[in-house]
Amino acid sequence: MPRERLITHHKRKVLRKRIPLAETLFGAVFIVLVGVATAWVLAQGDNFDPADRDISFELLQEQSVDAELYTPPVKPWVEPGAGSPLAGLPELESLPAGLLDSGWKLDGRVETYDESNVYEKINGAAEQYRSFGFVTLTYVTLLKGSEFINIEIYDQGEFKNALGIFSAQRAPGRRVLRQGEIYYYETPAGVIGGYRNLYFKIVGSSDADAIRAKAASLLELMSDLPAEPSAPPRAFTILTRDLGVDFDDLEYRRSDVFQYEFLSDFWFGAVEPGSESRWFIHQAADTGTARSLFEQLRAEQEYEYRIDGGGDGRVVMQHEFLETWFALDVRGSTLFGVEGAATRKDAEEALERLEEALGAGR
Amino acid sequence: MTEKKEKPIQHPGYAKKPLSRRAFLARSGAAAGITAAAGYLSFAPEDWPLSMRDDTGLRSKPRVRPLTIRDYRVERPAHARDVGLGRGGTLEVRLRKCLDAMGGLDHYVKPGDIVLIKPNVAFDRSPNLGATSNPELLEALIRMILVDCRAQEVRVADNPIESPSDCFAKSGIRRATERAGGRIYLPDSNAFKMLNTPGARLIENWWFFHRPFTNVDKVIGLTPVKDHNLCSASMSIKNWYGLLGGRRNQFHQDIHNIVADLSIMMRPTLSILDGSNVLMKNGPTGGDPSDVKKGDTLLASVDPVAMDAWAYEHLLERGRDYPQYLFNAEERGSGRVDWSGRIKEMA
Repeated sequence: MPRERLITHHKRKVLRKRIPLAETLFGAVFIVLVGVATAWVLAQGDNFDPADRDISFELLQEQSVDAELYTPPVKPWVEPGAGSPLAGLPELESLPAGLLDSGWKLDGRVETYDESNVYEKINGAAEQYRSFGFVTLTYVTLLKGSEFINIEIYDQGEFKNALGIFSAQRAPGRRVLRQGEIYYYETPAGVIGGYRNLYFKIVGSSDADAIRAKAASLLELMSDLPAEPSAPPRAFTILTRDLGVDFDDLEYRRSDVFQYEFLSDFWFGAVEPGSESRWFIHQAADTGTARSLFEQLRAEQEYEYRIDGGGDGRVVMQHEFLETWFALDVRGSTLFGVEGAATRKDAEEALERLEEALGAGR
Repeated sequence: MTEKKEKPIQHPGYAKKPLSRRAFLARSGAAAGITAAAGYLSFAPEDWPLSMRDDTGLRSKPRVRPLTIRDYRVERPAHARDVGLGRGGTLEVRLRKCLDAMGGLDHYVKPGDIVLIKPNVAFDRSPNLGATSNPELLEALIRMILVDCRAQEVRVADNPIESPSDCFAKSGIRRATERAGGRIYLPDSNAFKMLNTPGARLIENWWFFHRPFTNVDKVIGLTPVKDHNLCSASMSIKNWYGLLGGRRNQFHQDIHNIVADLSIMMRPTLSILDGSNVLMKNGPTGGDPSDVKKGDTLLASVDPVAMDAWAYEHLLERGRDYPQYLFNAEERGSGRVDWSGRIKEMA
């Protein structure tokens, strides 16, 4: 007798008159199981253990840090005998090869950010750098055992911007030191400073001796960075060279000077070390602009200051409540003055010193 | 010799029925009707009833059904105040003091609860820089929740600005969590869901780091006190920014409103504010340990607005010229800026 088949390839018809009990039971059990599974899925909903769907720490760390996003096809050609310290170390990109010595190794890769994506690194803090002409950030971490050092190198476009962010972020009372063109101050766990158009932070994970020693050696490497050489601004030269203002007492403000939106690009320097009284200098585009800013500033200051003489183009005023003195003058395209002087005499004397330095000659 | 394949036997009862004229017409009519209906659905203009035409593609755009998260707040005991203050002694002593002033941690966390702690792990900085939550404090808190309150599980989650794994490792949060017996949840692209926050101005529907919140019973914020370049101070309310996904950086253009929105997005069981390492300058990233002021104050609260106001005045030492976002948060019903008479300090 031929074996009964449920479905044949000839006709899609049930050819059997009876279906065995086992098959019927299996079918019923199968349907019940599908029903139970469906009910379980519906009841479960979002009620799962989130760890089941989590990616392991190790996997994320491996993939986020060690992923090689770009492999240069060939190493750049280096003329024999003209070996660059960068040759053979493409992973350091533009950073000096000396970064990796004494057992310190690279943690991950060199990261670079520009204005469009710097928030991915320093969200919340980015705006301050942007207000000082931020161009790029180069970020690298060095690792030695359990200690690490973060190196942040901000290209601020110009020397004055780098100095500006440096003075804005400097902790009060920190002594500024010099090493060639590099200016810096030491922190308990590193060094913060500037070099030409670059502002750098070397931040260690602790104040261990190994960190401090490495930070000191890194400082020496900063002058090997590809920075833009440029002549220092005239105002900077006058304050530091002619008036002897130390780096400790120097400040550059790029915007919102005296909290006025119309004032930008001002240099400040303390009349005496640590003094509240400060010179300020602004180099305007032309004589007309300088004169216009003079009038605007004078008009705005009158809301809080009482004008107490002046003459010969200058104006001297006293703060209504603080009783400090403010002197303002303009010569050619240079707007300058003194703020925070204790007495009128101090303000006038400081202004005269500045006029002499500027070579304004009355 | 191959056997000839046997042809299956036709069922003897099978008889092919002839198609009647009536049946033929009925079937033809049905087929024509279906074709006409399909044609209408496909080609009728978009504004006609039942039309499925989609010239712009907008109708077929997938719609994300936003979720809502619950209010995790717990009523404080009558004898407690809105803000608990703990000063002096070790970190753990201070933590116990401020929590006892709030009625004790066991009032807020019950046995069997799943608790989520949200520290600030925004940057890959070491803890001595004050830019991230204090790992020692986190470890003490996790132990208290697991041991004293007999919670089922403690989760620690944040969506850092930089590489999550680096931030958790370098800030010391990973080690502290693992040592105390907590579980870390790192963000990945599938861990976010669209969250609906009714009444929020900027984040009414926004991506939210949701996965670690699955089945969570209680939520505790653990925040350092920091200077902030844009909003003057980053404290307990601002901490919830770390749960947002998407292009959240754009909110910095309207920072006071986003922080106020965060205060209604998350209604935590408790907020804990750490005044042990206060970043006084160059926040939120810092970089110089000398910008960090050591303190001996810890705060816990069910009113983060009042707690932040107190911390702004006393820990950041910036007087009563509070950031605008605190007043915005008060307007949205998240608490009251005026903390006077609402603080209890445990001896």
